[in-house]
Amino acid sequence: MNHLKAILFAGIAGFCLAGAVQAQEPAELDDLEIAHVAYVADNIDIRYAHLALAISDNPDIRAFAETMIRDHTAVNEQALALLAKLGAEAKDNALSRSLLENAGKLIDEMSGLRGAAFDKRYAENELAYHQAVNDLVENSFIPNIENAEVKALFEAGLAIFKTHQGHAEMMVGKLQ
Amino acid sequence: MSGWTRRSALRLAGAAFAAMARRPAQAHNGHAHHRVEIRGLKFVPDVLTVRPEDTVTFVNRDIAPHTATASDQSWDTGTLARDAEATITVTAGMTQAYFCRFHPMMKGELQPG
Ligand SMILES: [Cu+2]
Repeated sequence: MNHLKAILFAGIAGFCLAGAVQAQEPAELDDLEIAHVAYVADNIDIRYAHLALAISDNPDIRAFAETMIRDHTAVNEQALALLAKLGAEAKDNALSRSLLENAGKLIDEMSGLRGAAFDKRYAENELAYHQAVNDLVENSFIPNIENAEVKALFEAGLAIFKTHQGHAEMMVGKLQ
Repeated sequence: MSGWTRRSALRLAGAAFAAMARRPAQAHNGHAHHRVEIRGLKFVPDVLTVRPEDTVTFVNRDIAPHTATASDQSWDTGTLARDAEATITVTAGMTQAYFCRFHPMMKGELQPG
């Protein structure tokens, strides 16, 4: 339950999510549900990045946001190609729905910020979000994925997202 | 002007290239052809010994697009999508340290031999 809580609460302190954490345990998800959570998690980070490009004038923030769009789009394209090859479709589930709902709230909140306040919030959320998702992928998803190709794709994705986490950490430090 | 030239890019690398990568740098007219693979967000090898007029081909084996860019941006492979490659020619006095513009913690070095 810890990973699930971590991901739901990542960067969204202040929201009441007591109901949301009643959702399924990540370990109970099957490969196609895990694929859906990952796909949704990628798309959420792409949405945050588009928000940053719309609001921020900071060149570091903008370059980071562009990398998030470039990399998460590339991973999602591979995921869709693999699902097509396997003749499977990602399955919607309670965890991916909770993620989306929380991301919507966070986007509403960040949309009201401008200048340095936005940059700081965006950078901190990117760090918290990548930490939470990476923890979930590494400790809950990868050990439970059955299909070897799906597992390999998650491992490749995790390497990319860990680099994003390091990059976000650097950015947060620079904005202090 | 760096003197580095961008030779080619965006070529799909097949088995032949993969086989080449396992061989040491090949001499051609006295100059060596080197290959640096980008795998798991690392330049492999990250430190390479080169001489003027050698060529270095960077090939991206990751899902994420990358670049190899001089630390002072005096040379740049441009964006390398998955399995794309680009070749640069070494000149005397060029900038040795390089990084990925998209993932600044990815670093490499071309050392004069
Ligand atoms: Cu890179």
